[in-house]
Amino acid sequence: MTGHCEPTIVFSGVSRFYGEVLGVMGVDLLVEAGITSLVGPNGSGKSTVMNLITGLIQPTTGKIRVLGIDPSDSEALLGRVGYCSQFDSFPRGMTGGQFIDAFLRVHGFDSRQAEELTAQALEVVGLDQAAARRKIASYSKGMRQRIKLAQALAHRPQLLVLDEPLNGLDPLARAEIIGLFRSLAEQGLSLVISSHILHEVDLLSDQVVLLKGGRVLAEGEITAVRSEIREHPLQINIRCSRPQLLASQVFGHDSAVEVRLHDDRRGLLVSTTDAPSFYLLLNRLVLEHDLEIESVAPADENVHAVYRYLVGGDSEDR
Amino acid sequence: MNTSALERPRGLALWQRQFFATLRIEIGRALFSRRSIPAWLAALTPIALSGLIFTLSLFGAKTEGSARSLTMYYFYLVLMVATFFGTAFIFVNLFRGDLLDRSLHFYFLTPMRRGVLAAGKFAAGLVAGWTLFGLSTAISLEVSAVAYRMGSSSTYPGLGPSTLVGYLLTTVLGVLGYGSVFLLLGLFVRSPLLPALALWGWESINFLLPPVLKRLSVVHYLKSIVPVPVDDGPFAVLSEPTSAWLSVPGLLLVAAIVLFLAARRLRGMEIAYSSE
Repeated sequence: MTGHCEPTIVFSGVSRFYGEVLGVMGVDLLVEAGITSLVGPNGSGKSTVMNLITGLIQPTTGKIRVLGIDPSDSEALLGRVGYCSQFDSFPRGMTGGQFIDAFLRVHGFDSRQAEELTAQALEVVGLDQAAARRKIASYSKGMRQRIKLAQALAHRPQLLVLDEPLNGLDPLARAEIIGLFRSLAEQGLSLVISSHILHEVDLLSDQVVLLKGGRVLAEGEITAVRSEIREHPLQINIRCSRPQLLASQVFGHDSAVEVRLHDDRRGLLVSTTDAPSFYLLLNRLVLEHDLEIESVAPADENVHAVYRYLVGGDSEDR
Repeated sequence: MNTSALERPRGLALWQRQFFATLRIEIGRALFSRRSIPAWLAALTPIALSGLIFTLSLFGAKTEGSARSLTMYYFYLVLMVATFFGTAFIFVNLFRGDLLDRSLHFYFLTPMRRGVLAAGKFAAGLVAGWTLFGLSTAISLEVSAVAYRMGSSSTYPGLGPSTLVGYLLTTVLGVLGYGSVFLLLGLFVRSPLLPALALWGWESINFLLPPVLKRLSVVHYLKSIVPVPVDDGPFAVLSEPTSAWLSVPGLLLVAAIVLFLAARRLRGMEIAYSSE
């Protein structure tokens, strides 16, 4: 476990080129414990960042520390880090159980430890013994994702790096795996996840890192990232009694730049450039006019909106 | 399982455990996976051919031979064709096969020294090669020797145990020598087929080469170990053979150097999963 003060991952001015092709450029990152999502379009550098974290590739310039270790020291690092890559490939001819057991032994575990850890990992990802005895080549896409995940976490890492782990899973399985990630995070494991599925990123993440063209556009908790985007006013949904009255009161105030009534006339959408002032105003109006408030919630304080504002357009798979 | 139960050994004990874990995986892949089919075919070819000769002898065909014809059979078919190409399939695939399957990263994501990985894979290749081509040598030579002896006017006394051991030792060193070269080809060359064929050509014309160049081949050292000398024919450029006492340590030294180079290459090797 990392100390409370020590960040899980630190990138300092990291660039990585593949020949003349840019992977990432001048990346400074500070990832704390918890669940961090890497978000960005294809080619934005997500996999490059993950490969750099796990030491599979080395930076062209800059420094990286993961759990306080230089990733080039794979012997020290890889007992504490698990990586579930995006690549859908496995050693040929192995069953699911053999695959996990064999690589646990390569980690240095003895046969009894490997056997126990294999059984536990399979149970965690929801693969039964019958599945473990089948050749991986006969697995469905979802089962292959699960066996990759089991392999990545079987040696009990402190940091789990997951490249598109929800790909190929049906909605039920996705919900299960998201639940698993949450439970692992609660047990003290740090997770770095890349995903195109933004509403699931929202559900999962303690913090996000937005990448585009090999550069970090924003990082941190999503509310903090959203508040930094000043050119797009924050949108707030309010469900209340007498929304027309509230709209007329809000309309002339400086902090509200746009007010729209909901189609069902039971609420309104307010765009504001100064959320704290607006919330104060709202409190005052509620008390003055004795309004009944059903809910107040930001409408675009989520990864999807932040992605749209910063990256432009939509991700290809929401 | 509690944390202490998850402890792994350190240092040499860890490397040893990782070496044997790699060996276990790779022997399975080199001998019992789809990837091993070409090597099996190469190993079975001399056995099939000697079986054919034996069958013909049963039907009274003129199959008598001599120690010289047996050594030619061994040298040009068992060693220069079966063992050479079989070893190529095994050793090139140790790393190139994993790169093509895109499965090498599973090793790279374990806390194992790349040198231990190189040693484990190389040892697995040797075990697979020695098993396949040792058996191929023993069976094909024994069956051929029986067929030679059964020939109607044969005076061939048969294959003695010490001679067979000599052939087996030559095969063992052949697998070591060629395996070393092919391990490097698999690591350094993207498409090893042409270099492998070029090497085969070089080894095949060894008898025509001047003495200095002869020494730059594996076959030159193997010739000094074969129990019955190989006749290179009337066009051969004569040279002093290297003694077995130099050939054997020489091939071992080559294998050690190759292992060192392979470990160095692996230490600098990177794997990127996507095209970004």
